Formats: sequence, structure tokens, C-alpha cells
Amino acid sequence: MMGLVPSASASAQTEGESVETTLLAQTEAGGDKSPVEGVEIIVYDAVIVDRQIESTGAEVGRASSDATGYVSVALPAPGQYAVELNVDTLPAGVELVRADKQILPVEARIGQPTRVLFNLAEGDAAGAARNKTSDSVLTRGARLLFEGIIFGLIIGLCAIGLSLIYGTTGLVNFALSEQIVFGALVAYFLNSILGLNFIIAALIAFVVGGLGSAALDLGLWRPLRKRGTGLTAMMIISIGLALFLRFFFLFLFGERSRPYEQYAVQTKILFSVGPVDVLPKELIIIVVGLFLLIGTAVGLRRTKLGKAMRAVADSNDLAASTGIDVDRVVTSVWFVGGTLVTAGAVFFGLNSQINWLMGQQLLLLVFAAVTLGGLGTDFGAMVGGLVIGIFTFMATLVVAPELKNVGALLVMILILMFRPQGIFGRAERIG
Amino acid sequence: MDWNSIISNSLRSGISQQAIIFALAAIGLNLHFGYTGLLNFGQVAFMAAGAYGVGITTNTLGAPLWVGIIVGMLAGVVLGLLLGLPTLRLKADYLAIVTIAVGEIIRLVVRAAVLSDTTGGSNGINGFANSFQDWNPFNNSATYGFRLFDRINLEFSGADVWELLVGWTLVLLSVFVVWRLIRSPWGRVLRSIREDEDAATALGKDVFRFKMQSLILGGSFGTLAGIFYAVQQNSVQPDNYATQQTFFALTAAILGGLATIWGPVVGAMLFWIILSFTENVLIELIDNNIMPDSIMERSQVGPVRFMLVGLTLMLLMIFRPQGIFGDKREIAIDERK
Repeated sequence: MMGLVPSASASAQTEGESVETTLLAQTEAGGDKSPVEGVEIIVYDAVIVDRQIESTGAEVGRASSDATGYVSVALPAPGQYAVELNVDTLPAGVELVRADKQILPVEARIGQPTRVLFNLAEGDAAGAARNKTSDSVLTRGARLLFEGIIFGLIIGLCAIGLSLIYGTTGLVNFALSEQIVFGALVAYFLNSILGLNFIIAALIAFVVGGLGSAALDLGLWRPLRKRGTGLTAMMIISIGLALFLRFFFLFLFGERSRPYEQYAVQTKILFSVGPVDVLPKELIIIVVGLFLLIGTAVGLRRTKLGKAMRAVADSNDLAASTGIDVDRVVTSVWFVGGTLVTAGAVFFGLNSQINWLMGQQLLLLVFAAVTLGGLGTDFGAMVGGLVIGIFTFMATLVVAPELKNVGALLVMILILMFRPQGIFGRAERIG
Repeated sequence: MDWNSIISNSLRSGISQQAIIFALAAIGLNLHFGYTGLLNFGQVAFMAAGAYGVGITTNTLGAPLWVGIIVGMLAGVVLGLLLGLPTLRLKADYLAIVTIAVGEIIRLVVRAAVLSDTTGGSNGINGFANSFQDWNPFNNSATYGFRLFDRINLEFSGADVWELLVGWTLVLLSVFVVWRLIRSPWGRVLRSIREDEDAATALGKDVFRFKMQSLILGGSFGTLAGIFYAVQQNSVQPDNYATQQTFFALTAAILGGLATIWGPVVGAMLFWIILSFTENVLIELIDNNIMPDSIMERSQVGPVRFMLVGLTLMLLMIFRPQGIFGDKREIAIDERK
């Protein structure tokens, strides 16, 4: 691997994978930036989870910046790396604005250079820049709120899928976590392996996720209902299914996290609202997510199928006696639920990355959202999702980011203690 | 294909420390689910409470090992109270969701970097149970056991024999406790709660109290499993206490047979025999180039054996919910709400 270390020349790597950056230092607060020459960057193998470097391995290569500040290191293959700026090689007076950003995680993409950004500044400018990055609580709060809303929409989509299925069949579906991974993987396969445009891939994945979900109902859950299998037994069967699928996806996909092809590294800011910078992909998630959530709520109340779904949820027998084909309605619910869950999954993958554990990461938060809103209510699941999403992100203002899910789970337990039917649930649903 | 080593490894797994841990955890789950009808999906939380109870008391606070073991057991009891109070009056689904959530909360908290002074963060706690090996009466440099038909290797080191002896003694004691309790009036109340909570209440039984006792006692077997795991490994690692461990133990309990005395123990032994057999056969197939790399590489053996666990759990619940030894009428899971 050491043979791949390029000379520290300006010749850019135009083919193959590489990491590149242009080192510019701010010379005075608010002023121009000038290139920094002769600074070394070092690239290591790494494992990255959730945009954080989990561990670093062997050195892959190193190089120093040229007169324009440009530096590039060739990589042996696409994948996860850590890029370190050697602070000992910085010229006198120039420093990193944020000391904790000395090593950056990189997900190198196939056949093209991947850019990283080190924020450098000289003397006083460094202090001023530092003040800007360590923003006030209010500014950070606004950004976290925005991220929380996006995450809340993702959870809400999954929660409404879980809730619809629970409402009509009474099943607490633990395999939802793997339906999440399935949907995200279908979109990944279409987008990154077959090379389809992301939006087309996502739309196809929505349908495939729904069909897969309906197929599960036809092939597994409906026969089980027919033979009178109890709900507890079905819940445990869903756990078995989840374990089987989870490790099947690991078998197929491996442990590594992967991004979708477009939108993976997207730094172009669409517009800003106060301190909040909105990226194109974030706008997509918000618009499509809201459309799907509101569409589901309206559809359940206005369309014939939606009304039938609610009738089945109220009482299987009464619905059947009014001539509703309960089996068909339940399969439709599985389709709609699967589609919504896939939408949540694809958005989650778009917002961060996809990996075989993403379903598990989301599942408990989805349970929390559903419990908070009230099991079996569509509106509750949406609101619960938003509350959990926002709470999870805002919690990082006070607790370490690695503990952000703990708060959401504690909220769920508290709600169960004082209002077990959830905010919008009916008390009679509880035993 | 080296069948001698495949069979040796599988048999050794069946009586291994892992089988002991799963047997203890499954005995607890059996008391919860098999006898009382409680859905505890967070047995791993009890295991973690025990393991970290020992680890923190001995390593961080510097107490002797036996104090740590007592603290670990107490931690399990406290956890049972905390879990039971908000959930035992609610529908079974809620206990399931809360227990699974608490298991995850504990894992996230103990692996957090901010607490690494106490819990060791993601590195866990190591080297706190040296005195357990000091008590070992066997000779560590000698091997004990025999070779079956001169081929099947059932020889163990002194340290292994000591761990297995302590572990299986704990399992036998736990089985004895459950056996005595289930034959007692107390055990009959538990089973009546499983069959019909309202009927038990109508007979004047304080259902909540009995459920709580069952939750704590069954959890204590899980706590014991966690303590044994920690002491035997001389280490506590947070990621060994992931959610799926509960489901693996549940699979073992259902495999042997819920609501039977020996079901969880036999289930745990079989679970590890099957897991080890699958792994060893697959590795031999790959190493001897019988299985082409295009189908499966060595790194994919791990996932395949856990796929098998999931499949086993599904098929058991669909076709034989009473497992090997169970009585279908006792596993009234189909009629239960």
C-alpha cells in the first residue's frame, strides 16, 4: 500500500479514488484566505459509523500541499478513511480553528476524488473564527431543531407504518426494523449498483418496499391468522423473522456503511433561514415526507380504502359483516405501511448512510414515537415521531451525543407510567 | 473435512461457559414467560446489571470479589423493581417494549465515554476477577477429561474445569429452586395468572405482587448469568449486552420447551451445539474449497449461523411452540391475548 503514496506535486489525481483538499488560511477576521504550502496530510484506513471515526488502521498514504495549498493522496479503493492534518507542519502563526477537527472521516467514492475541508486561520482570525463555530446556544438550538424535524419526519413515517399494522392486525411487528433495511437496500441497489437516478430509484424502492411488505402478509401473516396463531406468538415470530433478515442483510451487504450515489457529499446550500442552512436533500425529505404523512392522514379519512382500513381497525367482525373484505384490507395496510416505512428508510439513508444495523437504530425510537402518540392512531404516530426526533437532537445541547437516544427512550417509559394510552390514544385500548 | 474436530467442537460448545450463561438466562425467561406469561424482552438488562455490578464494585470501588457478586445480585433486584413498577399493570406488549428499551438504555449508558471513569466506556472493565482463579483447586497446567473413541477431544484445562464446575453447579441449583417453587402454592398462582389473570384476581390473589416476584426472581437468574459471564471472562464488555442476546436466550428456552423444568437447560446446550456445528461445518467446507468463495467467504459464516437462529425461532413458534419437552396445553400461547 505504501507504494501508492504519490509525490507531493501539484499533479492532481484525475483517475481513481483519492482524497484532496485545498488548505487556505484566513489571514484576518472576515478577510480573504491565502494558500498554505508545505502542510502534510496523512490518510489512514478507518471504520466510520454515523459520520464518526470508530477506529483507525494502517496508514494509506501522505502528501504535502503545494504553492496553491492543494494536496491530494491516492487511495487504493473506495471506502472509509480518516484524514489527519499534521499540525507540526503548519507554518508559524497558522492554526486549526477547531482542534477536534484535526482528523476527519472520509467516505471515498468510486473513481473520483473526495474533498475534505480543514478550517485554518492565522492568529486573531483564528480566535474570531472559533467564536463563529462555537455558536450561541440559541443558534445551535435552531440548527438542532431543524435536524430534529427532519429526523422526526423519518421516524414519523416509520411509526405510522408500524401503527397502521398494529391498528388493523394487533401485531407489534418487530420485523419493521428489517423492512427499513430492505427498503434502503433496494434503493441502494437501484441507485448505486444499477446507476439509476436517486429520485427514480427511491420511487421504485417505495413500491418494492410496499410489495415486499404485502408479500410478507400474504406468505406469512395471513396463513398464521387463518390458523388462529395468537398475537404474542406472532410477535415472537416477527422477532425470529427480524433476526433472520438482519443477518441475511449482513451476509449480503457486509458491515460497512455506504452512501447513495447522488447527494452523498452535498455541501451546496440551497438557502438559509437565519442560522439554519438548508441542503437540497433536506428540502426533499421535508417536502416529500410531509406530503406522504398528510396524504396518509387524508387518505385514511376520505378514500374508500382508508375508511375500510379504519373500520377494520375498530372491529374485524363488524367490518366483515358490513361486506368489507378484511383480508384484502389488511394486505393493503401492509402495502401502505411498507411503502411509508421504505420512505422513512430511504430518507434516513439519504440523510446519513445505510448499513445493516440502521433498522435496529431506528426501531426503538419508532416504538417510542408510537407509544408517545398512542398505539394504533395515525395522527399520534406522526406527532410522536416529530416529538421524538426533535427531542433526540435537542437533547445533545445538554447531554453527550452518544446518549441522545437514551432521553427519548426514558420519555417513552415516563409516558407509559403516567398516560399509557399515549397522547392521542383511547384509554380503552389498554388491558 | 475433519469430522473429529467438528464433533469435538460441537460437543464442547454444548457444555461450554456460553451454554451455562444461556441456560441461566433461559431459566429466568422460562419463569417469566413459560410459567407467568410475562414478556421480558430485556433479560440482557439483568445480565448487564449483574456484570457491571461486579465490575464497578470490584474494579472502580476496589471491593473484594464476593462483595461485588452480592452488589451485582442486588442491582438485578433493583432493576426488576424499576422495570416492574410502571409496566406490570399494563398489557403484555408494554412490558416487552419497556424491557427491550431499558436493556438498550443500560448498554448505551455504560458504553458512553462520559462515564468511562466508572464503566470503562466502550472498552469495558477488565481484570477485576483474578481472585476467582485464585480459588481454583485444579491445576492450570494439567488437562482433565478424556478422548472419546480416541478421536473426540473432551479434554479441558484446569481453568476450564473450574469454570464449568462452578457454572453447572449454579445451573443445577437454579433448576432445583425453580422446581421447588413451581410445585409450591406460589408456583400454582403464577400458572393461574398465566392462564387467566382475572380469575386469579377473583380468587383474592394480588396479581401485581406475584408478577413482580416472578419478574425479580426470573431476572435474578439473568443477573446470575451476567455475573458468571463477567467473572469467568474477567472482563465486562458493553457490546456483549446487545438486545439480541435476550432473543437468543429466548430461542434456547423455546427450543427446549417453555414451562418445563429442564427445557431451558437442554435448549441452551442444543442451541450452542447447533450453532457450533453449523459454524465448524461451514468453515471446513470453505477451507477445503468445497464451498466456492463466490457463494460464501469465511467472514460470512457468522451471519449465516445467526440467520439459522432467527429461522429456528420462527419455525418453532409456527410449528412446535412447545419445543422439545413442552406440553402443548401448557403453552397456551395461541389462546392467550
